[in-house]
Amino acid sequence: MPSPIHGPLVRLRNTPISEHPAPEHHPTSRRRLRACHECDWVMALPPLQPGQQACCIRCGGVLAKRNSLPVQRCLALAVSASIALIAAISFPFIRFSVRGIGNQIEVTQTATEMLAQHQPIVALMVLMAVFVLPALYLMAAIWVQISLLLPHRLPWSRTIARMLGHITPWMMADVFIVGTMVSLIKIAGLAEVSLGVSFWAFIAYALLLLATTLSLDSDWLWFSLSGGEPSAPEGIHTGATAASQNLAGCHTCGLIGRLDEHGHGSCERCGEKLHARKPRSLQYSWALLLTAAVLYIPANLYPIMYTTSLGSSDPNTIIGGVIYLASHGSWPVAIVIFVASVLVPIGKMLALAWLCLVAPRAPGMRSSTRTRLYRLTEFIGRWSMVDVFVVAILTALIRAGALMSVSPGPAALAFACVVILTMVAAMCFDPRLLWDEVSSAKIKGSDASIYDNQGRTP
Amino acid sequence: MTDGDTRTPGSEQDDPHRATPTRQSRLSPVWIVPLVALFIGAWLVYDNYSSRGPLISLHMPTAEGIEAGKTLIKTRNVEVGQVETVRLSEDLSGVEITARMTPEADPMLVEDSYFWVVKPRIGRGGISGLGTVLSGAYIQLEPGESDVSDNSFDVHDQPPVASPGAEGIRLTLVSQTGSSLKVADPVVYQGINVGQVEEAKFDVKSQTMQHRIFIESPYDQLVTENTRFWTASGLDVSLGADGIQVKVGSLESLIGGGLTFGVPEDIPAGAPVEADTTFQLYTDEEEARQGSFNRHLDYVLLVEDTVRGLSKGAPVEFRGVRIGTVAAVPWNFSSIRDEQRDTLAIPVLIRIEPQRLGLEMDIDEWKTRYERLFNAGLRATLKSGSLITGALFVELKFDPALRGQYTAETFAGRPVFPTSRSGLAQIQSQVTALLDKLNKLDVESVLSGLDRNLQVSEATLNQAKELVSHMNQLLGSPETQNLLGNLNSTLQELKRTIGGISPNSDAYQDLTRTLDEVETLMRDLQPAARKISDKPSSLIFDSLDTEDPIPRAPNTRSSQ
Ligand SMILES: [Zn+2]
Ligand SMILES: [Zn+2]
Repeated sequence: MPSPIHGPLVRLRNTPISEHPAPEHHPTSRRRLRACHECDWVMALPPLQPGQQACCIRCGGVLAKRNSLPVQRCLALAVSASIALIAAISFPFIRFSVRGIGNQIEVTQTATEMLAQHQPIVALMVLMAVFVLPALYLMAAIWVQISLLLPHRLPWSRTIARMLGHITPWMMADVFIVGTMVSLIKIAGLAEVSLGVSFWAFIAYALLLLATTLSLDSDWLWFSLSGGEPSAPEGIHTGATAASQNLAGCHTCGLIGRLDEHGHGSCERCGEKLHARKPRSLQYSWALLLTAAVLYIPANLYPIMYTTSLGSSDPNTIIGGVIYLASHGSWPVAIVIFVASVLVPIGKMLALAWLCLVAPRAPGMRSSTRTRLYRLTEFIGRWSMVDVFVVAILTALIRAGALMSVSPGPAALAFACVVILTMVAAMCFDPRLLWDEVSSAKIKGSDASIYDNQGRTP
Repeated sequence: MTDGDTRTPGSEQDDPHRATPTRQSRLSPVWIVPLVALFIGAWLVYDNYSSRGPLISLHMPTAEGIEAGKTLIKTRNVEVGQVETVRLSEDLSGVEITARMTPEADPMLVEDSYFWVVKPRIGRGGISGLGTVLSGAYIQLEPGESDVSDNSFDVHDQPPVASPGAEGIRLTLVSQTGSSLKVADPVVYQGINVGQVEEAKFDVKSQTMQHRIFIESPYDQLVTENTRFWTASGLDVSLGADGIQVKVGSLESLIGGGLTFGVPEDIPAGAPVEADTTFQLYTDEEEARQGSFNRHLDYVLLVEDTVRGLSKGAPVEFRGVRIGTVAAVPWNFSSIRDEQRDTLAIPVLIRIEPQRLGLEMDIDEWKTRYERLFNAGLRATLKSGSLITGALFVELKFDPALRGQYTAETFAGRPVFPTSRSGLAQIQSQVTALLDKLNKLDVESVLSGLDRNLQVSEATLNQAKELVSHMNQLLGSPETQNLLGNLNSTLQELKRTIGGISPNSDAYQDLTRTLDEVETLMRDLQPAARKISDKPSSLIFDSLDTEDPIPRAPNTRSSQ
């Protein structure tokens, strides 16, 4: 284990990067510099103990974290998650029967049945979010971690490692479980439901996948992968924004790179594109937000699914489903659906719109609070997929013909698009814009005064 | 980006050039989603658990049609539970079923609740449970009225009899012969189901079948003191002195049966009965009607002829009017007979039922009346009622020759009805006497006389033959031939004379005209003749237009 990473260690003073990093006794080391992704502040990374993380001094965003045994832990979790995924897709997921007419599905049928119901886009979304992207992520993680354990790096390791960070926000296996639970509550009163082996395997898969993403130590990963960390460009001032020094922090590996005169460049370690600020961030966000807002109207007006019971077909809207659950006493689930399908999308759109609105202007609110709002919108975005998953699961599961069946409605596609568009809009938004005012107009105040805009050389 | 500690950096390390190392928080916010899933799952389990009703166990002799996880338990067609497991009972004598009931079924699970299996059934009350052909059998629960709750029940094969609270009347029927009535057989009144048999058991002590029946309100008012009950068999073939009788009931009664009741004609219905009254159950309608003559005179016939063909229930008739019934053949055969009697005479018990004639008279008065009739020559004989079946009946008739030749006697405590030999027996003896006479005739002398006669006849025939030959000679002579030619010319002249009165002749025309006139005259006379016929008085009085006669309504005074 130590052999593959001994080489880079030689070149580094006072930065022991190993499975068990030794405590560092030189707090003044400024060799490893980072620019905060959220506020662009340039800082030196302190030595980190396992279980520690380095936070931005200005906005509190996490710059890097250190896990104990990062390679082994991540590899073990990724392998376990893959095994659970294979189990989850090869056994019956849920069985249901009504009056002796029964049906059992495998979990992948939630996507294929949507395809059969002429909803290819929704089917693709379910397939990608729940199976394909997580599978890719797990394979990539295993590939990269194995690569770290071997004396020589496997091919395309950097490209694959770069992919990891881009996939993460789109994996929604955990949300799928919430959708499954909600589906179970919706049909529990109507039919006999029993859970298959795959159900438990899927829960294990979702939890292990979550643990895998959490255990991935990207700082350590890139350090080991590239055999150390290239020295930061000359003349960097800590305690100032990167943009003001024509620098930018890499979003993937964290390295600070110098930009050309147009504010563009590429990371010297991972090859990711670098921008002083994301280009046309506000325009993209606005456009996507408006599209999402327009789509949100049909998503609520049209039925998200049709339930056929004994030959009579009933359309169900999102709000109708919430009211149905509430009127049948399932208050907690009704609240979950209401939050996920109504509060979150609307709140997210309003919050993003407000952030886009205030970003280029004088701040009316403290920037750190706004950044927290932004983090929240990014975090809760995936939740809204719950209702789409519910429709997919019910469509696949309840197929007893005229006796009882569920088919997706036009709102399912519209709503899925709203979720995806708001997620993309949140990604396009550059939170560093929220701090630009702070950086340029020397704000006087208790918490702003400690930052020295001029910066000092260490 | 979903991961992060939002804690503000520690204030003691406010170095703007260096990031703050902090401990990673134990729980990352990403776990919120699994937590929500866990929370929903917990709710699901709780909801499922809280909506579970009590578990009950059911016992059945056989689990036919019952499937674990499928068979439902219903009350008034509302699902109140579901069978969870089906297994053999520990002593292998039956089936043990556990069923999960809904919470709202809890108050219905009391001691006297009744469970039964509903499946397609062709019963005496018609075809039921057809719906279960598709849906499969289910278990029906009829809630009881007890306050004591229970969770272990027997499942019955038959629907419950009338619920304890139903309005109506319960009666006991006793029958001597084993009837085919079973529990749940219908009680039918004029084609309407008015109740059912609730219980059928054989009482060993009294050797009788006892049925408990329930007749629902308002039909219970139909049961009165004189009501008779009988089993309604679908097909009834009886071979009796009246010939063969075939009665076919409805299809339903052909399959099933049941029992019916009614009040015999000519008998007042009487007052409605109290609950738990005991009635006799008759095997058929005829027996029920016969059984209704409760006052009768018993006589013994001592029959010296064969009683083959005479059976219990055969009629006793007087000039074709039924007045009684044969009650037993033979009756007390081993009892000692009078010395002057044939020791092998067959005793037959008959009942004279005066009620058949609708005469309300004291039995003793009838008795003395019959004594008088016996003196006047009334005798009983066995007579064949039907040549095909050979069934006999008892006929009473007066034999003037026996007037005043009656001596009263008794047999085993009953008065003896004097008999005369039956018609067939009489004919038999007469034929025998005739043959005896024929035997005694002197046939040989007759035959010799006959021989003599034949010889005389032969001589006569020879003389006739001679006479014929003489005739032939006479006819062959020429004189005789000429005679024919004269006769012919005479006939032709006669023909000419008759031709004078042909249709074209004057004499014929005159005759026709006269007849026409007579006809016209007759036609003119016709109305007058009819009038006289309708109303002879019109010859004397003026005719008046009278109203058409109106039939008078019969007397509609209601009878009791
Ligand atoms: Zn920051
Ligand atoms: Zn990079």
